[in-house]
Amino acid sequence: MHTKVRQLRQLLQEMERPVTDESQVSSGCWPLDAILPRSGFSRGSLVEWLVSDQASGAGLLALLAARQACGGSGILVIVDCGRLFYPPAAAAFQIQLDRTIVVHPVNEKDECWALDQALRCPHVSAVLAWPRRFDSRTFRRLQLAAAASGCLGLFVRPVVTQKEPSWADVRLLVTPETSRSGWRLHVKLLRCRGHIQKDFVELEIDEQTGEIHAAHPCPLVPRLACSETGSRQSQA
Amino acid sequence: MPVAEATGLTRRHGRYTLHVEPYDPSTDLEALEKLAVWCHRFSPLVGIDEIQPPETLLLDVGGVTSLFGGEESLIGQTRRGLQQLRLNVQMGLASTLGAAWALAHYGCGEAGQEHLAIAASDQSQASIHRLPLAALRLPARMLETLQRLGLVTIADLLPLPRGELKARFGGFLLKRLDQILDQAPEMIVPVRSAPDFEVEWCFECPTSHHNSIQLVIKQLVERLCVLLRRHQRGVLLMICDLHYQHAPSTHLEVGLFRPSIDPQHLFQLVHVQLENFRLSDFVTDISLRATSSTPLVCRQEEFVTIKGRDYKDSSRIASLVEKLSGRVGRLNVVRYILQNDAQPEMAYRAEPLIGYRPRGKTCSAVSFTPLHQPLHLLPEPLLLQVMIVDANGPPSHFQYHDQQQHVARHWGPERIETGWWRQRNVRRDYYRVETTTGQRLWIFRCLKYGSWFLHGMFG
Repeated sequence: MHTKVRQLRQLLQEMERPVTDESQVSSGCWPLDAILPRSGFSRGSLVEWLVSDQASGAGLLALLAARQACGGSGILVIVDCGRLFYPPAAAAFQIQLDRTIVVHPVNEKDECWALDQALRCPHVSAVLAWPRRFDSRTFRRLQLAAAASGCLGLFVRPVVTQKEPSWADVRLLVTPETSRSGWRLHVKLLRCRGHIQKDFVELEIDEQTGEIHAAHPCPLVPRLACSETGSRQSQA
Repeated sequence: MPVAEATGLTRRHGRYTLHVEPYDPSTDLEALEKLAVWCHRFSPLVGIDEIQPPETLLLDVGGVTSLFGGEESLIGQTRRGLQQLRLNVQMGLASTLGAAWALAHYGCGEAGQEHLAIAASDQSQASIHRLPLAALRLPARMLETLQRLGLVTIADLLPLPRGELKARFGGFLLKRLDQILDQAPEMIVPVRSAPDFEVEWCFECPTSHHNSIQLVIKQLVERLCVLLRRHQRGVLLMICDLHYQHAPSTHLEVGLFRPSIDPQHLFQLVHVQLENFRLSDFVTDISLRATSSTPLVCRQEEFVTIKGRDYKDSSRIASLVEKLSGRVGRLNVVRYILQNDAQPEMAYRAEPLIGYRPRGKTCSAVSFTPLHQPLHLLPEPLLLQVMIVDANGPPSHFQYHDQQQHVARHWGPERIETGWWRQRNVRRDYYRVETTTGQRLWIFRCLKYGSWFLHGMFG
């Protein structure tokens, strides 16, 4: 076999192999962890949250994941191009503002540069941003930067970017729904490294406490049924 | 003067507008230190009064008055200089520090001169004896006790036995008395101006060659670092001035999170800015100065992790903040501090990570639940086009993102009435609304005008 092909195969195998548990970080809500193949996000990777609007709740989910990644003592970098980030709300979600660095780039070029620098810093635990546009090369550079430092990159992006190529390990589509009780969010797993099956979860954020729980435990039953059917077929 | 009184005063006159700034003692002290450095033109030894809050400058003019044409002339020159800085001062000149302080605070207004008191050496004692006991720089409680005993002036204190005074009031009263009467020494703790750290390069021929300019700046950075190393100081703020043949000069500002004298690191920070820098004209000379420097503190580098430690100790984080500040601007790399203010825009403040000085009161925790306020707050509330208004709640239909939104659920109102002391009275009724598509928005009705605004989005 040609050396180049062998190297390429090795590289692909490395990219697709599941990463070790030590490098995992919970998403901050167990129902979402349940649909992720490694029960959380990998450190040193990028996670994309696609939303139709800034009022869709994905920012809150990304913030919770950032809180988990920081674990009380890590450093969070927020790259906020639009100057919309409201710190008191983040503090209500137990984000430590004294360990949070907020960057306000003035244009998209500076935003990409700031993201690259923050993701490349090994002492930064998580980077949260709301970028709009990336070209594939920039995205790849950011992914390599995160992989080099072990930092978790969390990007909340418009849903129109769904068709664009992505270097994120996990891609989630968040759609808010109406509910009689808490705030309901439909989270669909569009893409996950080493995991082919597309899955979804209905989350509900409690009005009073802000805790997140599964809105419908029922979808678990069809999934279990599917796996049961699959195992029977394999036995047969 | 209280703010309310000042507001009333400006309203009565009508012509003036009141500008209110929060009291910040550290900024006051910083300004006084700058003024002390400025006063070095009149005296080689300038200090600041140790009494809190400090408000007095102490100048040792012994032996220098002849250089200014005598005491009167020195006083006149000093006052004129300060008046040019738009400062009205009270001045006292005497043979001791204590006496000069006493005359400046309690001796002015005599002999027809409102802002000046000079005690001639032969009349010094007599003029001081007439002064009130407050001129001795005593604590308020001790002054109160002395006044209750019927002692009003310094002269009243002098006939009393020293032993009894010491037994009753302690040694501090006698110390102050001796200091004012020139029987005990008193030192001025000098305020020293930071040494000038500046290097420059003049080109033989004006140039616009980018590589040459970069090379020169690199050399200047190295020379500046040598200069700083001799004084064991590190740069906190560095300014690179580029002077042109015809165009006005421009400058690059480099701020640092931690003091540094590493030439490579400093040049890298300048280089980040040079990448996006356009020369206005041919450059004739370049100067580089450290406008802010601090003594270097040597500490061991972290080994593996910084978990649980202050992130300011991390050299990697320091480097990141410096690079970010260099590229996007010092004021655009911040940390947020919560403040106790009901108005959402005022509930926090941003402090640049480089070159900031902590100021004002802070608040460590918020008093609301997570879904109570939005994650995104618009810098300016956005006026909503309301379709259908409900008399007892938020509008049931409004225009947002060029789409008509229908309100499915709402929470509120939460009334905010605040800001009257800022002369911007804010009266709002806030509602959290959930649209039929599940989006959550934070809107309010301005009670003054009755119009509706969008103020935030819930993530």
